[in-house]
Amino acid sequence: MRVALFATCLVDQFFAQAGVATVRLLRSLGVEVDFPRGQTCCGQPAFNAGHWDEARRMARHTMGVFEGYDYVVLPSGSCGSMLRVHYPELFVGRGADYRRAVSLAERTFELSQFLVRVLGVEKLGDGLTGRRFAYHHGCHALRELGVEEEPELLLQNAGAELVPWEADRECCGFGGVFSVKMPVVSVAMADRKLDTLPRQAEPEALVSTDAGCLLHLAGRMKRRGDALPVRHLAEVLWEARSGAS
Amino acid sequence: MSARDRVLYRVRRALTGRPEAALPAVIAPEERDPEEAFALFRTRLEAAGARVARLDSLEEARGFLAEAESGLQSAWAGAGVPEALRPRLPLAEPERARLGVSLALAGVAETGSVVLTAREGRRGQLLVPRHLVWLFAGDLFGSLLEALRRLRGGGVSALALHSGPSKSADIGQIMVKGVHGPGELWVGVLTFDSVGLEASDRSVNLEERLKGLTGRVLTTKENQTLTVVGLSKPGNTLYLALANGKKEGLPVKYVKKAVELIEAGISPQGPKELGEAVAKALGLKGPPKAGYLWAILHALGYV
Amino acid sequence: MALRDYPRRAAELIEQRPEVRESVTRAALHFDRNRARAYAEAPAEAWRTYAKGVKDHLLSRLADYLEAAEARLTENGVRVHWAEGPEDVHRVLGEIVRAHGVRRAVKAKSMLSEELGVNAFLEAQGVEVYETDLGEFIIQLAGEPPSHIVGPAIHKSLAEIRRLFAERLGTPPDASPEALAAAARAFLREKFLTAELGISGANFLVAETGTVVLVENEGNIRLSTSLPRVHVALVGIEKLLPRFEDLAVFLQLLARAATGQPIGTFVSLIDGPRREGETDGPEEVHVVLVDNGRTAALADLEASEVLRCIRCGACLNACPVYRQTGGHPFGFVYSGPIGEVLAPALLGPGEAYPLYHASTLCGACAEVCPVKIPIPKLLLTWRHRAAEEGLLLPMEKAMVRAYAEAVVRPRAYRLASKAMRAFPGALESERLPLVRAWTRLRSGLRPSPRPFHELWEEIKDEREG
Ligand code: SF4
Repeated sequence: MRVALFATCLVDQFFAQAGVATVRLLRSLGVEVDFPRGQTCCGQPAFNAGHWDEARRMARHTMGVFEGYDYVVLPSGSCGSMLRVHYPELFVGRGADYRRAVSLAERTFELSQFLVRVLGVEKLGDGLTGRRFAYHHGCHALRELGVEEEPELLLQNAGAELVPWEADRECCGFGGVFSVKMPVVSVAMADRKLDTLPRQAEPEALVSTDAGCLLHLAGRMKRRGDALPVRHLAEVLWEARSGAS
Repeated sequence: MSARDRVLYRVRRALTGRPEAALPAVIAPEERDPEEAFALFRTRLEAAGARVARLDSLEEARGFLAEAESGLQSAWAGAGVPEALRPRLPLAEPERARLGVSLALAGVAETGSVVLTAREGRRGQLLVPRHLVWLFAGDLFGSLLEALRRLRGGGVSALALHSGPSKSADIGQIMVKGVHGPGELWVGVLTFDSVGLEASDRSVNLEERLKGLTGRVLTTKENQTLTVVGLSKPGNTLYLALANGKKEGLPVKYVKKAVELIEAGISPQGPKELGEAVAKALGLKGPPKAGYLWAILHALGYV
Repeated sequence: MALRDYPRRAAELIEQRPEVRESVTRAALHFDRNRARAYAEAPAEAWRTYAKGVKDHLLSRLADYLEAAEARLTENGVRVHWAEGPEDVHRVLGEIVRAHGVRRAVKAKSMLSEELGVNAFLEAQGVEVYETDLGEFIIQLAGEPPSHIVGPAIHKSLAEIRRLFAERLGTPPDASPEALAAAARAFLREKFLTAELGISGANFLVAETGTVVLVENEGNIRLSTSLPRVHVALVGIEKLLPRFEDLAVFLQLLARAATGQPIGTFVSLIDGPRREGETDGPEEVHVVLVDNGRTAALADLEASEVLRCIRCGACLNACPVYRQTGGHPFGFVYSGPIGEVLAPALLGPGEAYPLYHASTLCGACAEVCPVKIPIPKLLLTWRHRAAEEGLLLPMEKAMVRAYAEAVVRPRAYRLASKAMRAFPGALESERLPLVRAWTRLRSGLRPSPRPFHELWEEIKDEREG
């Protein structure tokens, strides 16, 4: 099985350790992981803002980078949905490009979904015994990819407890360019998430599979004077496996 | 070009070359037997804040009415309400009446609704603070679809479904009742048939009672639906609209004779027997539209 | 109010009137939870698929259905009018006002009448106009537009309503909600009894039978359509349903989506004016079939999906963007997700800019919509069209081009990555406008000390264990 890691630009730049954790985690499960060097960004910001010609250029680039791999795994739900859902839409009626987009879409998985649905792994280890987290479901992972049970299952089966969180399935307000186009609304949405976060249940960190949401929530928490760390799901899953924390 | 032509032209132009999208078949509703239907009807209405009682005898019905009347000074009643179930309070215009009493054309279990007709008078259904609605148990439908099928084209200007007291949460999300319409809805489901009502109703002019059936949708024993269109001007014929769109006239003298015979003690088992008895008494050749006759007598509470 | 000002107005509202955000969030979450429960206890998925199919069919044959509806309505004794836009509607209303010497009109909540500026027109004709839905009445007293399709006054707290009623209706300053409602009831009861004209919208118009269908909880719609001598129903041409039987699902789905009820408390099925033998009801019923931008939306295959909308408000309740402000900052009759896609469909993307950007594309709206309007997909479509038409922020195109260049050239991407680390404070700057948009309310971004693509060189040969 030839598996390519698509780190995505946000993980590459802001959560580099999550990339490392993904590689180690997959290798520990016997998967051979490659990191094609040509990879950059999936183009989602351009696509979401309506610049589809530019988005197509970027998509073609990414499709070329990941040609020939059996699977492409991303520690991201949002970019995963860009590849799985929107690349084919971008190339509807465009012959060979469309077929390449569909082929890539079929091989693309968000990390936790890849573990559970493709590898059939539901228990990574016991490394999270006695630890408590708050889990944020990113919108694209949840609604476009249907990633819902997988992260919870993997965390809980490794001994972690997930604190009940009223707004855990609500949007955090990041929304890519939205976060700077409409910053006040964006931050009010983050505040709703943070105001409902049950701090009395003492989660040690806020976890998500989406780097964008984490950056936004972390930035807001810090500004509010809240010291709760944010962790990328990949890192926590690697701890589940390796027992290290 | 008129506005009509311009709008239609633009619609047609907008749709040029667009294939017709298929119309989905109507979804068959869940089937419910009468017990289930009643249970659901009650649950739904009570959840909406209405009072529901199942009334197995005329005494019980009268008790329910008396309770609704207690402490009030005046009432209004719809034209179709059987004499025995009309309020005893002094009658008043809907603007002033404290209680309104209506007869429902139908009930819907699925949604917890009673269906009211404009023929009864709309103001009395809306302006009173307390609204009591009688529903014959036989007129309760399991699903909204069944009810709509029976009610369509009833020949009145408007029907209304009432599914609870008037309410609003527009003030700070706090539920308030009786905002514009009645703040109380009482529904009395009449499960007893015929005899009780008949006994108390003997004094009422049959013609008036037939008029009161106007707009009612009835079902024959053979499960055919018909709508009572009304009494002819001289009062000799009762017009019925059949589901297939045809109109039928039923001579009132047949109904009168049937009532007479029943009051005299015969108890026909079905339409056929009834028809034969009426035919014989009136010296007719064949049985006189016995199915419709039966349905009318059923609605009047004689069979 | 220009739609263009949405970001500023939203920001001001959030920062200066936090109580609005609180009221709206609470109400919308309440509606949404009820909706979720109500969907769960019904065959919601099958109903939604059916409802979408029925509306798609209807729209694909709309001209035929409009003609059929017109014929049935006419047979029923209803007077049918057609209107391309507000002027036509005003003309029809003006004629009715003159013919009947109308001095007073009662109105049952109608979003379409908001589109058409009906109240202002009637008032200019010297007609007193009373909104009779309690929420509409509240905002009419306050002189505000509706903030929500179903709950027009959800942005107002009890305290605010108390103050308003004390001032305008003389209720005590600490009146209970019941007392406030009773005051409104008493005030409006007299209007119902004396108005010559009742104006409503329509939730549905059944083509097969010519039945105007209205759904509500208060009884004000039944009163508005029963007491005055004349009833005028304003009906958007997309409001038709093919069959009477379609009501069985639509009535239930609408109520469940809007408020979580099995059905609206009062459903009116209106087949025409008062008939012989009836003691009340209007002597005249008019139906005005209104286009007002809908045929333009219909001509646009993609955008026309918005015409399925049954105005339940479920997408507003589910929307985390809407919940921060309510409807006012949108500056359009319809707000929230459906407003963001209706505005460009009815007004064009230029005038509607930037409403279709007021979304994170989280998808919550599409998940709840009873007629399955793919709102996020439509938002993307409008953004794309706006970009094609050059409706952009200054510099936007240049920035996107530069970004695309860097993305398709991995070496450029890596250079940019290095450059970012050479100026570690760049993303925390208070001076660069784009960065400041982030840092004004959030701490600045700190890149990882080294990007993953550099770390990879170190771990690529690691063996397991
Ligand atoms: S778009 Fe859908 S959810 Fe929103 S108001 Fe219309 S029908 Fe309701």
